[in-house]
Amino acid sequence: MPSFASRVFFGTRARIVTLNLALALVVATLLAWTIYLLTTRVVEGEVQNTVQAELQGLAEQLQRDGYLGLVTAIRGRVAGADTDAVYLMTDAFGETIAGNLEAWPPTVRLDGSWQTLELYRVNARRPTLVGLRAFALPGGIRLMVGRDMRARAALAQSITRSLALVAGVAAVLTFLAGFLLSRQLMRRIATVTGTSEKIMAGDLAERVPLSGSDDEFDRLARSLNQMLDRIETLMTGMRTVTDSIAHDLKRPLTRLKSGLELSLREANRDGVASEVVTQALVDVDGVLKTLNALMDIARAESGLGHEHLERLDLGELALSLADIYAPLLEHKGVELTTSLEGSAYIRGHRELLTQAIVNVLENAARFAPSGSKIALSLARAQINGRSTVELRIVDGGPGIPAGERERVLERFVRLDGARGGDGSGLGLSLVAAVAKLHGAELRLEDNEPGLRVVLTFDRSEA
Amino acid sequence: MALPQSVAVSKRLLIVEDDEATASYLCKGLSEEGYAVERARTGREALFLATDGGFDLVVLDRMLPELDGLSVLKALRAANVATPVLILSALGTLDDRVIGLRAGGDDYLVKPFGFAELVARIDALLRRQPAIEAETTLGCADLEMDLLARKVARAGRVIELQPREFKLLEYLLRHKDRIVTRTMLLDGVWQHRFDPGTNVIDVHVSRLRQKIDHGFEPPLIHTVRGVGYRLSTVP
Repeated sequence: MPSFASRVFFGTRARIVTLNLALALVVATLLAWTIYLLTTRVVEGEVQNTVQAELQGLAEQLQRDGYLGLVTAIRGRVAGADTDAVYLMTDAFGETIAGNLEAWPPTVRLDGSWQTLELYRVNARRPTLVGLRAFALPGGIRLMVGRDMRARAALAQSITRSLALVAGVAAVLTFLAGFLLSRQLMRRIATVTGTSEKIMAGDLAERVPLSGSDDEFDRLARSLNQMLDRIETLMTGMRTVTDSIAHDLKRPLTRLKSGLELSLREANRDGVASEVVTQALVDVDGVLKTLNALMDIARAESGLGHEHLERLDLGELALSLADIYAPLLEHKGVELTTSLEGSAYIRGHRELLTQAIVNVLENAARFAPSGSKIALSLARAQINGRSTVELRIVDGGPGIPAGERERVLERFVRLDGARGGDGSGLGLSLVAAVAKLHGAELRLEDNEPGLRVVLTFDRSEA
Repeated sequence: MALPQSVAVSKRLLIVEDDEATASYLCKGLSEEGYAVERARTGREALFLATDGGFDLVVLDRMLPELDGLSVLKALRAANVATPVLILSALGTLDDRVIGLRAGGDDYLVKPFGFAELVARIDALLRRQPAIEAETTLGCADLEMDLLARKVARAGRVIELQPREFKLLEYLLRHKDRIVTRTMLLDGVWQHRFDPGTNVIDVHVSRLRQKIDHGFEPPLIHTVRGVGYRLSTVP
């Protein structure tokens, strides 16, 4: 299970919302910037025009009345009502002749081109932004005409502030919209997921609920439900088939067995030994055992035992079975050891697990040479946040060659060394089917020498 | 094979089975064992016959026409008929067994079964008595088992038994003079219900025999060929 943090920050929903928010912020920022640039360009254009007009006026003065006229004009304007107008006229030594700027700034170009600079006005503590044009006049005289751009600055500030506010509101609204929308989305997805989980846990009757809005989710739900109907039909069919086999196929076998037993008892009563009948009974029992094993495998493979899973201690079950098999193994010169301490609770089908473990033990008992060991052990682990418990059954027998380990799990497969013995070839098939029913992993490994059977189950906490 | 016939009046059995061949086989075999046998072919007939509680045991097949076996069982139990019921069924998954026992059955045998197994289980059900609270010892001949102290002695000599051997001997003693099959032992001593392939139970019994019979007279644990074991002074 991913941690809460990773789910909150990296889940699908978080990604949708974050993407949404990022896009909204980018768009808002672009828009704001564009508006800002256009506006300030317009304003600056206005300022330039004004300065141009001023210059023209001053140029006329200069023509009509010479420098004196120019100076008078400048002084007049400085004293006038238009406080945004900025002038400076200096002599060859840099001394101010007229104007309202503190000093001639060193970086000014004298080519009459438009420049914007931070300049100190007379008696000002802080510089202001000034847009100006400067000229070099004959006699070393320098003239600069410009406008205080504080309006522009003020405009820029106010625009920025408003746009920031708008962007902020837009971001919040987008976030909310994304949040609510994604919540809707996730809720619908969660419904589907929840239903699937219930079905996988064995409740075949569950169906995904429809919201009635006939949207994509409803269509998904409908198609899932159709699939589930099909599966339920198949499973019911499966159950019917195995129950039919139980009744129909076993009926003649029952009669056969009864008949043979009757015949045997009559023979015993009459003092007639009947090896043939005794052997026939043994064979019938063998057929029945194979039949039962096949049905168990079929049911386990199709998941039919799911309703009967209960919380059980795997260690206690294995220990009890080891207890039963220990004397037989000792009798054959094989030492059985167990390392099954502590509790190992899983959700399991008691009888199927019993049969599976028994099958492995019986195989081990059958093939383990005298002097070898068989060991059962439990190992608990945490893999990617999953709690697991592993049951290992290890023997020192001939083992299973690597190439055969897949095949040996199929029905009726018996390896060369085993042919002629009394196994049916179904033992490991059942183990595989039971593992599948429990959602457990089955591994057959080389114990060097011998076979190591490893079953890994999810641990049940509650 | 003869079971000790220590009954003055024959026990009355009701066999509920719709399959003619199986029914006649059962009736014939069981009457030869000394039981008084009656037959019902349908669930309704079974209910009618069993409800007055006159039978000592009912052998009930699950798959019956019209009213199925489990419904009959539930109806009997609802009518407070406490007669022991042994369920027979071709439905042999262990889930089915659990369902059968929960419905009120006392034992569950899967078809086809060995006749000897059936007889052993019927016998066990018939002799089952409510737990005697005061019972603290069990015994047979000079073998004594103290249930409280968990001690076993024969001819006055204490015998050391492992826990599993003790439980096995206790089961045999509780079923003294009766045949117990291997599946009964597996179920009664270890609470497991699987079909042992190898002779895994036999080894347990032979070890027990080593400890409690070897060097003592008379031998108490007897093997009944093809069926199971019996703890008794009578071979």
